[in-house]
Amino acid sequence: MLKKSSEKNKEAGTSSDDSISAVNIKDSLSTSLEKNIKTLNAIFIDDDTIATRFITNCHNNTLQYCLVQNDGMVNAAIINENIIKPLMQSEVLLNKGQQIDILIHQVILINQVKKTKEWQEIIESVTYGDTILFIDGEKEVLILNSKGFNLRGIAEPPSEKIISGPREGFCEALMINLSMVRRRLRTNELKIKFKSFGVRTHTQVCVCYIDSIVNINILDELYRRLDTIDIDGVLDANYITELIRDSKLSPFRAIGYTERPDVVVGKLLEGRIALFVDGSPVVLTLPYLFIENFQSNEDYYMSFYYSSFERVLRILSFILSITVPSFFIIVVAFHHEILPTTLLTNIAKERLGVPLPAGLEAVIMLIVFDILKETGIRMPSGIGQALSIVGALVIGQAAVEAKLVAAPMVIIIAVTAITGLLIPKMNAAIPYIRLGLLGLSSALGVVGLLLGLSGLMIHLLNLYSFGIRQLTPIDTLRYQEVKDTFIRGPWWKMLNRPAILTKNKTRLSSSDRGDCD
Amino acid sequence: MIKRVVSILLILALCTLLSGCWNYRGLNTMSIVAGVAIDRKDDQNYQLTVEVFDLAASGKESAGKSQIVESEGKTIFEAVRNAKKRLTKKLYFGDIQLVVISEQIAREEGIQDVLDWFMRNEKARETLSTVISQEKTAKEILTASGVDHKIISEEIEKILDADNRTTASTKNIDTFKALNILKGQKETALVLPAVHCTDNQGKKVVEVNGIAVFKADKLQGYLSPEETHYYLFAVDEIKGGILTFPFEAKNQKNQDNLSLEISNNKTKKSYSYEENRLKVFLDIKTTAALGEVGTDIDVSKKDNIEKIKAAATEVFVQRLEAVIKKTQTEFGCDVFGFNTMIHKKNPVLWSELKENWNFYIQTMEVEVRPELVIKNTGLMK
Repeated sequence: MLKKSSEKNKEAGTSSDDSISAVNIKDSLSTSLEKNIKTLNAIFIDDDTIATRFITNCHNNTLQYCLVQNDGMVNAAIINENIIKPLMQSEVLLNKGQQIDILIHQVILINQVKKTKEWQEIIESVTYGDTILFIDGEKEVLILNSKGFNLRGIAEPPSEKIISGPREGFCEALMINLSMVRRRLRTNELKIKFKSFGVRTHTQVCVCYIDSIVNINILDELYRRLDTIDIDGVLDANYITELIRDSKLSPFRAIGYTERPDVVVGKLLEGRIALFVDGSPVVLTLPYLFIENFQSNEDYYMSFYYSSFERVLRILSFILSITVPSFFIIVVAFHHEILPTTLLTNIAKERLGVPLPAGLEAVIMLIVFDILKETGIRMPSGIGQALSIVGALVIGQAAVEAKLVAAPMVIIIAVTAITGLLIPKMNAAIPYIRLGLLGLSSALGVVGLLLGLSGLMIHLLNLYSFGIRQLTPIDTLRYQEVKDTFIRGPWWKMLNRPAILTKNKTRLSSSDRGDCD
Repeated sequence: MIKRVVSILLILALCTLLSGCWNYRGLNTMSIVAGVAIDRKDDQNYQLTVEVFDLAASGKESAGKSQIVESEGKTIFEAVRNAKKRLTKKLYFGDIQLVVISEQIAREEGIQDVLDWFMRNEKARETLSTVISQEKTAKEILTASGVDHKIISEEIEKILDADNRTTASTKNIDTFKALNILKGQKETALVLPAVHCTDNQGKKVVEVNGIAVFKADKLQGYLSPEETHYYLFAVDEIKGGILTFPFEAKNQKNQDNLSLEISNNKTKKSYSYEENRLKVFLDIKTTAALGEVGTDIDVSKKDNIEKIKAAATEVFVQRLEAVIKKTQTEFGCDVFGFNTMIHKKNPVLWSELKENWNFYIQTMEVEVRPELVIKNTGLMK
């Protein structure tokens, strides 16, 4: 058995990488330190970041060890002080071949130590910053936690700005992200389950929920869908989103996302499930209701008067953003009679001498705006001024003065653009709806607009997120749940959790309801 | 799958039933009409004078300028289409505000035929105002200049709109209501605003000048702005305006006048019918304030206020009765809408009177019973 594997190792040195690892990682380890290191070198052939370090105990020459680590991912001080030093200087009585448990318990000064016999596990550990201790005469190795790679610090996520409230944002390290959530939810009911995805990336994904609140059916459905994933790599949470979401072709979100731990905790407390993906600061929450597009965590941290107004504004903005251009076309090209005379003559005056028909003009301007927007995101930050000059002066003022575009159209596009930016969670859907409605209204007038809006409504009503209709609680009116939809009710009135998400409904005990005054 | 296709087709089909025109018509392909003047060209043809917004006028001060387009045709519709021969753009009547009809057409042919197209056309808005030109032709009205607006139609429309709250010297009525009166309530006489041209700083400008009274759809005559004012009291259409009357002429050469500003007015009509004699009562309750006292009188004394009241009431009754007399004798038609009052209060009696309504209108007695309240004197120490 041992001979076979060593023979294979020799062959492996000459054949291609794939076949080496394919053959070797299934074999078990040898008791010979030399053989093991040879196998390891064969596995990591042509990878110069894997470093080995041989150690011998200074009191007993027969005790030989080898440390394997990935350069740049380890904390050198920990390895020097807590692994190499005790191993070299240990005066504990150790016998070759029977020392592994004593090492763990009495010698090595590392918080997490794990025994393994599997090459696969060794590969995954060493590439994640752990140090592997090979011991001469033992068939097992020790995986020692010595992770020391650098991470981005915890900062406020730029995509979800708020005025007041917690400013912490997730970073790319899964464990740090989990710690931020755990710190806010100090209960044993918080369940955290790990799974690994990606045949090559072995990305850790973590399912997180509160045991007593979560809807078991949704959790089962989530696990069922996660089990179907078979992909070579997962680099961001969106990989998972697209693989497990409902209505896969819909431009609307079916799974929520956030970069804020407070949002995740809020969703967990409502009975939702959170999905952490290692390497991504984005955490997924599900199920996702349509109204969540208009919600912001800040709504809950500010006066409910203020947040209710803001929320109505967001909904209004969504409606404006998709309908304003098409409505303008309807007014100037089909139903002139609904305009007051002064407005009609003013718009007519502006349209005089403009070469393109209004519908085409609107499409072009919308596309120009989207180009500007995309440029703003992609370009290096140093040349931002150039963009604003081109955008504001050339496309705005100069185009109007040169009579290429009518001035009212520029205003319409500006309103459309600004209102659209207010709801970033629907940035994927809005341009399509907007252009679709615009096309329909340019062709059919108000009939087209109504046709498009009916189609949109039908689509929205057909959207599900993990078995839950996304338009809940708008389509089925429940007094208790309306309090957190178009408006944000005061906290002392939000007695229950959304009924559709959980069976454990009571959120606020009756003595806290504040009815007394 | 077939079910799905069918349901989508059904939804599409249903959408076509939703209201709306689906012909694309860019704003730059049409001339927006502000107003139309209709004259008789000859026996066969109408002459149309169309005022359109001048959109080509450049610069900031071009807030409103107009152009005049003339055309002829056997019908109004034909004349409108004939105008296209001179224009690159089609006339758009969706924002038309005014139709001016010449006195000749109103007197000889009636206005119903002329207005028919404007109501039948789907674009023209039926709330437009119709006025009667007191000049020789209606065209003269549209070609005069305005004081506030460059667009005459808009100027006239706006004057008419605010009239009953300020001067109360004419009565504006939406054209569709006017046609309703012509076709529905045949016993009521239609009144339309009358306009004429006058001189203002050497320029010919337009001025509203009382009302034109119709019998059926034919013009009978006019009430002057002052007569119209009292007419409006009788039909309970007063929302403001002033009441000026002579008071205590101290010297005969210079008569002193007082003005009352009317703040509120309510008129109730009632009738009595005995021995084939119809009598109508007008209970007019007016609240007013002293607006201008052009004589030397101490208005802080109650007696003096009573004197003013008595003088005002006397003049008021006198003038209103004169107007009623004039309508009875000169026009012989029911300008005040007494018929609807009797119809509502006593349908049986109405069916009796209906046959000889013209006779009753001309012979009935009208008693004016005014009640004037002077709320404040506007005096400040």
